[in-house]
Amino acid sequence: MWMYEKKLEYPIKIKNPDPRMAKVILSQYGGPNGEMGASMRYLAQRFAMPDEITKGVLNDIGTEELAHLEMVGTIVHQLTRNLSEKEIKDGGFADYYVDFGTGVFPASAAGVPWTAAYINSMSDVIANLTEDMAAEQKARTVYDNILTLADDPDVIDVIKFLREREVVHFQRFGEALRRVTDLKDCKKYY
Amino acid sequence: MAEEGRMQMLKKVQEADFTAYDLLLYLDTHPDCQTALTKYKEAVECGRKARMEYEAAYGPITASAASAAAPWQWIKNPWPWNM
Repeated sequence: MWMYEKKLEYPIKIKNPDPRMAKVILSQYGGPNGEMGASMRYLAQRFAMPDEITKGVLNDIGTEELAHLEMVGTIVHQLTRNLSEKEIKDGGFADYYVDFGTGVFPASAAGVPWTAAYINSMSDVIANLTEDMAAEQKARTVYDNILTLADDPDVIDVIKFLREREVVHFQRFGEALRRVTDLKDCKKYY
Repeated sequence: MAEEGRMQMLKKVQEADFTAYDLLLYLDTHPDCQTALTKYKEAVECGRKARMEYEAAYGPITASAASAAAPWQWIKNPWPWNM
């Protein structure tokens, strides 16, 4: 189970609204390479893990991804606080606003709703962990793209933190994959 | 400013907890690393102290820490996304 802690993993305090940036960053909430997919993927794949190391890695990275989902939602929320009608129209936010207002809905920047088709969860451990490593790289690339588009230091600081975590998770998944490969070589095939 | 003080105190909790969590992931794949385990223990202790200080001043981080005071403190603003 999970218990909530009333704090973010990393501080977020965004002073200036920016609906255009909010829509871009929303992709890491419910887009194809976002944190919702990451958390659901790892927490589902846990059940197929064969040993203590891989169970621990999937459980604990999946848990951190939930914290990242909360952080991305917080960024989107703070970037859309107290928007004026003019900011909605000029910021290219009208198409989102008409359906969701300033609520945080899991969708990509282009408005495609989150779908479980973004993830897989198989009994094949090697397939799972290889997908996970690719997922971390793709999410890292999306954060790179966000950094290219961002100009607010309050936003950039948080995105850099999230980007760095993708790199660390990639490393841990690589170690877990090596572990599974070693196990496969020494006894039975999974 | 009261708000500044809250954020500063919470940052200490966040720093210690993040250090601990990063070490936790490392320990998952390096369970025999004594150095990481020692650092993990330090970070957890540091986080525990910072958390107690924060909670005494600004209210509960976990619901169980809200059991001491009435009325129910857990739901009180600000929630993390509004801090």
